[in-house]
Amino acid sequence: MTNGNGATPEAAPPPQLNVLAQYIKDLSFENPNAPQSLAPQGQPPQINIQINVGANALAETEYEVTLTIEGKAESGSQVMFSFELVYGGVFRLVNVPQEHLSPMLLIECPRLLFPFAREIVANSVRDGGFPPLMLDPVDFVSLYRQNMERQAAAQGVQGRPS
Amino acid sequence: MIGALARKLFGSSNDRRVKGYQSRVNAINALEPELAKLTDEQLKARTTEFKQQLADGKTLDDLLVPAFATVREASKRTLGQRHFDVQLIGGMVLHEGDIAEMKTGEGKTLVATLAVYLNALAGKGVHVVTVNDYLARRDAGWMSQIYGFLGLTTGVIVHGLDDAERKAAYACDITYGTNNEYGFDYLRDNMKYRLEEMVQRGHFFAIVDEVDSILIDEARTPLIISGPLDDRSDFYNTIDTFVPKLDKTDYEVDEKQRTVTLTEAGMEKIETLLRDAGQLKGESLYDVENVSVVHHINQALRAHTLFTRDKDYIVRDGEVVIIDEFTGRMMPGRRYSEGLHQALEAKEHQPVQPENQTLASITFQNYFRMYEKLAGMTGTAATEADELFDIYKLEVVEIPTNLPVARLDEDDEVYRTQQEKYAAILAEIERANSRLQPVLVGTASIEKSEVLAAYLKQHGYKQIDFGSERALDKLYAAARAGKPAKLFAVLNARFHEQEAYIVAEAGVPGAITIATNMAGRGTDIKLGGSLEMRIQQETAGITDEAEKAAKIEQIKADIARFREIVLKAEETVEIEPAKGSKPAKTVTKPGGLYIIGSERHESRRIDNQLRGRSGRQGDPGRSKFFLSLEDDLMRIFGSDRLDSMLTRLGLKEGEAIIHPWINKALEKAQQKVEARNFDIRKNLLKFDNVQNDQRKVIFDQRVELMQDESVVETITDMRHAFIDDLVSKHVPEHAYAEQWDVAGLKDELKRVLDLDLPVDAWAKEEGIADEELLKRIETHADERMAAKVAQWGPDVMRYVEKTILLQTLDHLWREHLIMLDHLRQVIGLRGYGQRDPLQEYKSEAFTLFEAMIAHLREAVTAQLMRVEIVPPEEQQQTLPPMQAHHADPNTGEDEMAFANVSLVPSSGAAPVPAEARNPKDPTTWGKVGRNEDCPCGSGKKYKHCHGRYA
Repeated sequence: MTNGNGATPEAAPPPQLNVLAQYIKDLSFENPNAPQSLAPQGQPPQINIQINVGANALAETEYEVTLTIEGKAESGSQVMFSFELVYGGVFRLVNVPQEHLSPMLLIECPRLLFPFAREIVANSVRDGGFPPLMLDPVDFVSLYRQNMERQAAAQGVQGRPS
Repeated sequence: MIGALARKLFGSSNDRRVKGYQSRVNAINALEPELAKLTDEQLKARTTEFKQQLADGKTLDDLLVPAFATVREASKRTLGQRHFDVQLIGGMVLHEGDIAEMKTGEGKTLVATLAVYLNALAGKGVHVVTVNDYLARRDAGWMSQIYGFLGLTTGVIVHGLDDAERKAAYACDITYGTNNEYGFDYLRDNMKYRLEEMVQRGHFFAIVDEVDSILIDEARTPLIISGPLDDRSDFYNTIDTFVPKLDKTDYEVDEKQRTVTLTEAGMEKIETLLRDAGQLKGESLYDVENVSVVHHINQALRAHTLFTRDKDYIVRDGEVVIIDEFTGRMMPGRRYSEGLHQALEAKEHQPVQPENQTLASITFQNYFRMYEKLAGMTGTAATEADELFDIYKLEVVEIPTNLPVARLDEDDEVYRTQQEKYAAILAEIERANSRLQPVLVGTASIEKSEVLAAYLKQHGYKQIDFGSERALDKLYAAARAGKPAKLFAVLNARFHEQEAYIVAEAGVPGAITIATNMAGRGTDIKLGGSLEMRIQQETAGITDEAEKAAKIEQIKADIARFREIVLKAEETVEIEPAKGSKPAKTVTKPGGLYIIGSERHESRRIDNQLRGRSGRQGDPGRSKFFLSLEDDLMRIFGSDRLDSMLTRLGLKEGEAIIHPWINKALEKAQQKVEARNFDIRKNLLKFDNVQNDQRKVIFDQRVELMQDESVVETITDMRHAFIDDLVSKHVPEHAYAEQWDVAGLKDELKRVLDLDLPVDAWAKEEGIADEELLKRIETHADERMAAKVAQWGPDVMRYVEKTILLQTLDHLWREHLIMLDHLRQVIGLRGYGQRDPLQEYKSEAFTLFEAMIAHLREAVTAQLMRVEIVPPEEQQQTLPPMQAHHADPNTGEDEMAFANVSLVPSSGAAPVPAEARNPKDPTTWGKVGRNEDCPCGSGKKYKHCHGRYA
């Protein structure tokens, strides 16, 4: 762990991040039109991927972070394959200041989970009879920002102006 | 004096009434051992027996004793709760159609079961009315165990159900729901075109929970169903272009009254402008044809001259948002009425939203008075007994508590300024918190609760964030450690479910809860915390039974320990010795929940409600109000001199005055306000009664029309009555034939009935009388109708007649409602002419009503005489798009609008909670996981069912 913004010498003990567990929470792979769809296609299929992250507290310092990856490949109107993966991890965060907690959980932790989830996706798609699907790296920082904005907007709808 | 003495000797009338129930209570108690021996089946069979006895001619009153005994036994077996004797008395009061006043924690929900069961035996449906959806769901789920055990069905009406679900719920023996839902269902039912579509099945018996809040507080604003008017947005924009062309001299602005009127010159100018633009029909702006033009010009003028951007409203995301003039807060979703909002939108060049029109409305007073029998229960009604009797004919009976109340109600402390008051409250909270006594701080409004919360935050307290699931863990941990946690929670009657949880936990040691008066009603504050709530909250994720049981044991031990701590949180206060007396004495003030009132409410009832949250079922408790001379009530009813006088008398800063006289004076002031508010409500009701009588006639008429197989008789009567009117108008009785207005008659016949009759020729016949003429016209009209029946067959014609009649009736009724509204706004002016506005309103409204009926005859007859049926296909009449409104009388916010907002972040792919999904409507499902069970209920995974790829 690096602490980028020059902590003062007598600052609190350094933050710690431990991975306690990693697991598939939910996995669905569908290959509805096989084997016809496995034949070589004229043009490359349209692939749509959606990624989201979520976190909830399990105990004072322990959190479950989930990384959800959904994808669907379509050729014309025909679905080639569709997968949905919820990949979870349990993290222990100690000495993390309150204001860093949510970026830590929603940026740093998914970043650690991503390579594993990526492999599961690639393997599943390959085992489905297609060339393995290699997901591009994900910018979790901008995903985090989007989520924050959406939350703020949602609160704006519900709440009273303060 | 004599009265007080007599009361002492003979007891109050209330005591005597309560005593009168004792013999039946004894009879019920005597049945208990016998019933305890019955098997479950035998107990259940008693319901059928009772129903049989009713059919054999017994009355509900005859069955009261055995039925109550049966419910008590069923409750013992299902819920493990036995009705106390006082609860039986409460049940009897409810059955007699009166209000049972029972203190908090005495188990009102359980009391209701007695009267509900007994009256449900009649099979006409019993409605239980609660203040919010959460309570309706909770109580129904809880109490249906008893009813189900005894073989009765229970339904719940909550927001967001469709008609089929509502109908099923109303068809149950017992229905739970909120006042708003019942009222709106009634209104919606009376806008439907078929009897089968109506969801309610009569109004037999209603038990209203928190009756004071529903029948008095909520009843200040009516229920309104509105629908969009025809789109006039272009017209607003057109008119808006003229207003800037006017000069300051063209109109006069009265800032104080907030009115603006055109001057003579201004009128001429705008007339010219409009005429040039081709917007003016006829000669003058004030001709009848131009009424709506004038209306639009007036509103546009108001929008331009009286309303300032960023002061009265702001423009945000293409919307004009009102700013509340008192609080300075934005009021999204609220709109000015009568086209003013549209005029503002046109002024700001924002998209103009369509106008809304009232389609139907009713006040709670008039809705609840429809019930054959009405009863209610609450903790605080005695102060409002007069009003409840006056309007609803409900008597209030105070039910004694099962255990005596052990709460100490201290005298008020009055400070000079608000600042000093808040400081005193803070100090009191601090003291209570240090000995871990839970505190509930009551405020009069949401704003005040926020002020107080901010004040606490300034002084090192932290607000509990209920966003996270384990929000209260820290509080529990601190309580276990015996240290004050310095955490507080705020509730303001918005998120009922969550607030029920917060309120239930307000009795945990060291808890500080700031709440408005209405927040979390219906939920008990148990000392040490609520077992059910915590089990529900903390064992939610645990599937292992053994682990769950262990956790429950742990929670139980926790709560028992917490309760001990709270009970022991007593305060020992030294009393300053009076001069020359012995050394200081100490007084012990009880522990338990400590209620701190930050302000006296206008009504004593609301204060009593706040106090009543503490000291349930014989638990100790304390309550105290902190006031300042700057509070609204003091400001209005205390004089300015009070402040300077108190200063002169030596009231120093930070010091309070405490004296029973002040409490008395305040109570007097409150009584005055209560009486005034009651008068206002009574007056409103008097006006609404006029509308209500007419509404009843129209709604009854509609139901009758829908029930009738054929409306041909009604239609024929209408046609004849119309022709009768027409002939007598043009051919007056006993008039000579030369005086007859034959040409006018001929024109009218052509215009309305589409009949070209040789009336002029008939009139020239020798010796013809008006009767003869009338008969001939009627015969011709009847023949025309008979021909139509022969042409399309009687079935089609019956259907057409019914449809036209109902639709025309509805249309005219809506217009009539608008007329009445307008009438009501101006009728007050008659007062200047020494006439009683109410009487004037009554007679004018009656004239309008008669005119409407006459108009109805004409319109229906005219339409039917010229109706041409294209293909006789089944037309499904759809209801116009409708919105329901009921403004919260406390905050002015539209409760129903609020209920539409979901708590889930509104992203496109948000998962929808399972209970919000309608199995029949995939559009309500939101995002469904591929591996999830399909929400349609097929039992298959979503990906193998509705989510299957072709």
